[in-house]
Amino acid sequence: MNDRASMLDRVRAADFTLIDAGLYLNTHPDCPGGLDLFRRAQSERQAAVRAYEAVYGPLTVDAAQATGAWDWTASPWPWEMEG
Amino acid sequence: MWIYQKKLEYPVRIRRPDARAAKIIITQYGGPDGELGASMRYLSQRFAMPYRDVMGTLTDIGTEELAHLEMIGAILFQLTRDLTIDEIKAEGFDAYFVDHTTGVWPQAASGMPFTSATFQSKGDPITDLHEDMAAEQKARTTYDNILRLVDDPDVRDPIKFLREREVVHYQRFGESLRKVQDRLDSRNFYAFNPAFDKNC
Amino acid sequence: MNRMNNYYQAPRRRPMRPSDAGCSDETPGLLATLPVAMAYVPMQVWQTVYDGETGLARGTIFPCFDLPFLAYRGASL
Repeated sequence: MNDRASMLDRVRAADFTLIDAGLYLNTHPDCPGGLDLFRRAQSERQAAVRAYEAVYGPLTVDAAQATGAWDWTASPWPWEMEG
Repeated sequence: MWIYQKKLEYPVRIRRPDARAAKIIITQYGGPDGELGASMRYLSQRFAMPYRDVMGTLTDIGTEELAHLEMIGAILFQLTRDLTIDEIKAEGFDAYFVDHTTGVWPQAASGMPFTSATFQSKGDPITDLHEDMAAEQKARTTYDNILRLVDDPDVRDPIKFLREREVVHYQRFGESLRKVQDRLDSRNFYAFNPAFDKNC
Repeated sequence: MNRMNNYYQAPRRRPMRPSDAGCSDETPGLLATLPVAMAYVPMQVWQTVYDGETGLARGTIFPCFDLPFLAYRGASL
């Protein structure tokens, strides 16, 4: 597994915590444990996304570089073998 | 509205193409208990839901199902790449191939095209949430059956992830039903439809 | 009436009482207090979660939902 895959896996893990914790908070909106976990996962996700995008390009179209060349489409798409 | 992230929720890395497995797994792309149906069900039901917390659950789970649809699409794409015509014939993939080549098209394993006839948006919170709980169990059973039929660990891995998400979603819809019950009179939950009878 | 008013209305209910159960045949306990003709899923209680990597691998951050399918040839936990 290459570095791009491992950096993307770091984003995936942080994002997944947000997803699962978010669903929990929808039905447990006052749970301090859940709220605390969500906040911590937000910072981790932000850091993981920033680290990935700096090297491998945008994960969302609004993060695309619009100086010089358009980089949204060129990196592998998720169903290509690199996952 | 939706924002797209250029990643799969869970990675799909299938090293060995297998059209036979694709014929089965396609049912979670366009079949009666598949991810497209699940997302359309929840994303449609949320409009009539009169409670914001449940609107949130329907939106967030409906959105996650779209991410699951994408994973199934990726699985199908990787399972059907680089097939020879002999493999296509031997693995019984020729009937699909003649209409779609190795393109991905929403249908059930039986060949039945995707249809909203397999889900409901009934406009009643209690009814819709029961529908949703049943939908998650149907999806879980379908993934159980896929795990019985497919041996490749590269394929089993994302399938197990998708199956586990159904268990969690079931719980959240069950909790949402409790939240609806909390807002109604337990002496008669069925006295009126809170999505429609505004003056009760 | 504007639907918006429904969202934060105080629930027009009173707390469930054991007598609401009416026709329930349940042995004494919580279920015996719940009205019949309705389904109830217990609310999940907060617990220590898996770390991010483990959660992703198991498909949930909550150990209480980690319920794998075991009825197949070569199954293992």
